[in-house]
Amino acid sequence: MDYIKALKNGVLDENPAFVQLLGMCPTLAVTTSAINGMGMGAATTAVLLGSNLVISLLRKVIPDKIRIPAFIVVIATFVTIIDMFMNAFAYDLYRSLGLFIPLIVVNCLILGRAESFASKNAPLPSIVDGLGMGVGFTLALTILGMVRELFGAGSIFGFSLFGEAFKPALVMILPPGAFIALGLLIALINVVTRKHDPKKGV
Amino acid sequence: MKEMIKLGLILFLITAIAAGILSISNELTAPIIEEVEAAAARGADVAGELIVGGTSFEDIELALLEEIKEANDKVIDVVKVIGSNGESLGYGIRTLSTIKGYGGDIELFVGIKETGEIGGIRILSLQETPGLGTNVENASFKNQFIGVVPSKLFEVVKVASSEEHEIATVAGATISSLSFTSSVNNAMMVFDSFLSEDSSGDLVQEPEDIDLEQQVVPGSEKWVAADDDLINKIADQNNQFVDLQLAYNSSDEVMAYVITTWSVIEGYYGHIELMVGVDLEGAVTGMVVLTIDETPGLGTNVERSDFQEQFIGKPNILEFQVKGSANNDDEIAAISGATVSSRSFTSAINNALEIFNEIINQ
Repeated sequence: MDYIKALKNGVLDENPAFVQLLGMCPTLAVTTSAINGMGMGAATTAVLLGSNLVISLLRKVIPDKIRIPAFIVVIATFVTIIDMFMNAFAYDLYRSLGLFIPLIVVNCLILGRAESFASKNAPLPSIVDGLGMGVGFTLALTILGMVRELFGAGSIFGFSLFGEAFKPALVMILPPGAFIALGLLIALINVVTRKHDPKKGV
Repeated sequence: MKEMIKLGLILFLITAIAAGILSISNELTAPIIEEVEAAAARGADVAGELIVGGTSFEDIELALLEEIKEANDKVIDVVKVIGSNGESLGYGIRTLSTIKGYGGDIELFVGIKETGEIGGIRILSLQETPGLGTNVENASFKNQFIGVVPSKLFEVVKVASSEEHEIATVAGATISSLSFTSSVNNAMMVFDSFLSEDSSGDLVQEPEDIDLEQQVVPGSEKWVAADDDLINKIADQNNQFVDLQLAYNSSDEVMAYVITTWSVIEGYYGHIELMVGVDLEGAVTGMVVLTIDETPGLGTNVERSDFQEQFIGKPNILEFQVKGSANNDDEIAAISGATVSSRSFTSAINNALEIFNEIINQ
């Protein structure tokens, strides 16, 4: 298996947020700032790595009929562990992500990778797949967070870029801004990727 | 049957292992979480943030705490702030807001020095819109409170003047600013009524003990009920009318009419009852709110003098109009966030003017 290709697959070709449109709830809800998007992406990646590894190891133990509850238990366990450790060691981030950490359990990205990849592949490729998808998701959320923070608050990662006179477009950090920014980014990505592959056409 | 038992067993095993792992990680993180949360609420840095020089907290007497909580259900905790030499510097008051923000109550830890000066504010719980309502956490907003020795409760305004008790809202986040300020005000009221040594209840001032009529018609000395015929005549023609008195000056001449009336337009929570003074030229001399059920801190701002002064001393106006901002003499700038209450209030004034112009003055 070509690991580089698997990574590229997760980050670019099948980017969970921009191409597959998986995990839209955290994508839209927490990306009010770049740091929140990155924190959410990192937490999701950690859960994805853990769940992909364990589910891949258990793929021959778990019978087909009960695979969904088994996957959910594994994922929920990792999410709870992440939740506890973030509470203990990254209290500020934990407070700003708040409700969205437990919701990682029902992020379809994680169950989707467990179902379509980890349950059919060996541990190492599963970890690489999880890493690729996780990094892709993190990048997407960070970019979206940066765009929204830049236009909505005039800063990036909390550093103010413009002077006092800059009037930010508040709508960008409100829910409608999430949809607008995501739509424009997806359009941009489609334009760029199609240039590389003229066969696909418009 | 056999398969079901097998499946159940496997699932049981997986969940049992998961539970085991979780209990271990809980064991590992629980003490740290407790420490972190204690530090967030009661750590040395928190004491220093509430009052400069504070290093620790000390409980107040339980009986006093219970009395405070009994009287004020928004208060969560009250502690003493202790300096490095063990001296008491003031109080830390943990309270919810009395006006709800967009995401529920805002919980603040407000440090008040023994002199009554606001020492510092720590935000404990705030669920406002990220990047918008959460801007009340910015120093530029928070610092407006700090160092003030309040003589009255803080008021939220669009643009703060030099008045210490005026707080400029965060742009686009009036509700969050109001909620935040209400929380600080609540802490101040607790301090003033229960903790302060020299004064008690100064902030929630009752108006000075002067007659309502004197407030409504400044300079008047004597007030006499109008004769029954006139009162009956007005009551017949005007449904909102309540009462009419004549106000006399020191030389025993009628100088104004004191008209008590309800609003024509309903406020948010029913009608507003006003006592309005109208002088012989038809100019409003003053007014006092008798009944109001509007949202505290929002609709009740119609009781603020800067709103009421817009009506006073303007003869020849038959009807005031409520606008976003006042450009003409007959235009009244609405209280921001309380247009409905402003309209209701204005309708009561207009009704008093109508009674004067169309009945009394005929």
